[in-house]
Amino acid sequence: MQSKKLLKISLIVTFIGLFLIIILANCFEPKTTEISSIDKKILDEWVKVTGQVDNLKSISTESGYLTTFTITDSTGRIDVIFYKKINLTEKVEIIGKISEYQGKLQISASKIKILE
Amino acid sequence: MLTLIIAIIAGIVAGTITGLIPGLHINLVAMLLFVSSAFFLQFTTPLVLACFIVAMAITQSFLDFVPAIFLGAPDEDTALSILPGHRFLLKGQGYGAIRLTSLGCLIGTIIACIIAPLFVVASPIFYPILAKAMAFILIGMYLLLILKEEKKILAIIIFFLSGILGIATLNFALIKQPLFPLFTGLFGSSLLIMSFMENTTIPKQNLEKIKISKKEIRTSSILSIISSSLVSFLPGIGAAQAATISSSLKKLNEKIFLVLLGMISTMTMILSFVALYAINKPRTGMAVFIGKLIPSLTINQLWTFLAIAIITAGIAFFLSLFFAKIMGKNITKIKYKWLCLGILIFLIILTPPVSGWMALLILGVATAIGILTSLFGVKKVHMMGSLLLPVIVYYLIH
Repeated sequence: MQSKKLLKISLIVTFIGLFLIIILANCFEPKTTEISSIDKKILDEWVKVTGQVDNLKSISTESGYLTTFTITDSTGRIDVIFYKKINLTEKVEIIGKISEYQGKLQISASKIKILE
Repeated sequence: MLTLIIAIIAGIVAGTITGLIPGLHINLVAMLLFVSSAFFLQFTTPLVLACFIVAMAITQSFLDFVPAIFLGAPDEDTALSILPGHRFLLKGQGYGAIRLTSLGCLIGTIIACIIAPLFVVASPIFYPILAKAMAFILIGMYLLLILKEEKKILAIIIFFLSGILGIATLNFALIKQPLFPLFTGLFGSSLLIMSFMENTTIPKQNLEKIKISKKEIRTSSILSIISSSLVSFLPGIGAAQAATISSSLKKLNEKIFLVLLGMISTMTMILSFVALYAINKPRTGMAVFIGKLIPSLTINQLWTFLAIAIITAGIAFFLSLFFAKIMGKNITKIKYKWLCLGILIFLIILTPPVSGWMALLILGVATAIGILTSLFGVKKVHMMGSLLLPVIVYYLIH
């Protein structure tokens, strides 16, 4: 009897919870971060950065395309990687995770929005 | 040298604590160490910090089995499935079961260190071939796990529920350290809630050894070498999956299965350090942090890690037996239910500061999926869909 009740509760929590998590994950974006405030303490955390694109390069790898560029805001600059071929010359808004490559911090972008 | 000895001792202490508390993962300690590495690096070198991580990871591999076997045992009359370790506990042989896993961990450490040079040479040759078909290899491995499962439909449901939760959690911008609430819920708090709800009577434990023959150890060793070597190349597949795949290669008795589980646990951890050097890919959370501390690992640093792994394993073997003895002697005296509730409350309190308030939602859903897995009577390995499905999707997209 007790396990039937527990099964019902678990099923309800699983399905309603999953639904809520998917909705919330799509609704909430990280707060806009100034590039100068990015450091190792926020490694693996999500950030939103707005700035100007330069040094754009796209290369073909074993598993697809990799685009790398630098984004600059009024406080600093940081490298960005994006696992798709993309052409950017404008001001962009990037959402991605802070990662580290060869001792240097970078943003692994998951969403890029052209602003102008 | 003194800082290295201090780092090893600190690693053993940290690995003991994280190993004994279900749901408290070593990734959390490694992450805290990495975040504060700028402070520690004023006094020491990245190699010493990495040695702390190696000692902690090996110790935790041994100690992890103590709560896994002594907590969460279901009522044998009503349970749909029962793990080999719990079966021994319910026969009063919990200590003997820990002795088998610890023996496996110790032998696994030695084997991993012996095959490491071969791995260093062979990995760069085989990995590029595997990498090209990674998504399909992972799908194939999972199909093997499904074939082993009696309740295939329920197992697939658990795999996809965990997988969808994994994908949503890993892409949830407001969650820091997403693996913490995810794994704590799936493998920690769900086990504790089931223990709290069950009316399991744990019998008085005897502290005798469970005898195992040399032939049985040889069988475990061969199977663990095959599965651990393969798993070390693959992301999203861990020790438990490797053990289940091994058991599909040969019918195993419960004693061999426990030794095998121990062997694979330390072997996958050690071979992930070797893979970090040989193919520059971190395959465990610990290898990720070592890779961040030492971006270009040298062969001498790798040998240092292996030497530390052997020293630590020798100490962790006796530590796990010591704590198993304490648990065995006191399991009938301690308020089992309240112990589980106490740890559960501790994990819930720990979640917001580590991962943010929103992580409580992840913790709740992950716990519910963990409970469903127990109630459905399917193996816990299917909850690794939480990592495996995001990895498969990643490789299919890219």
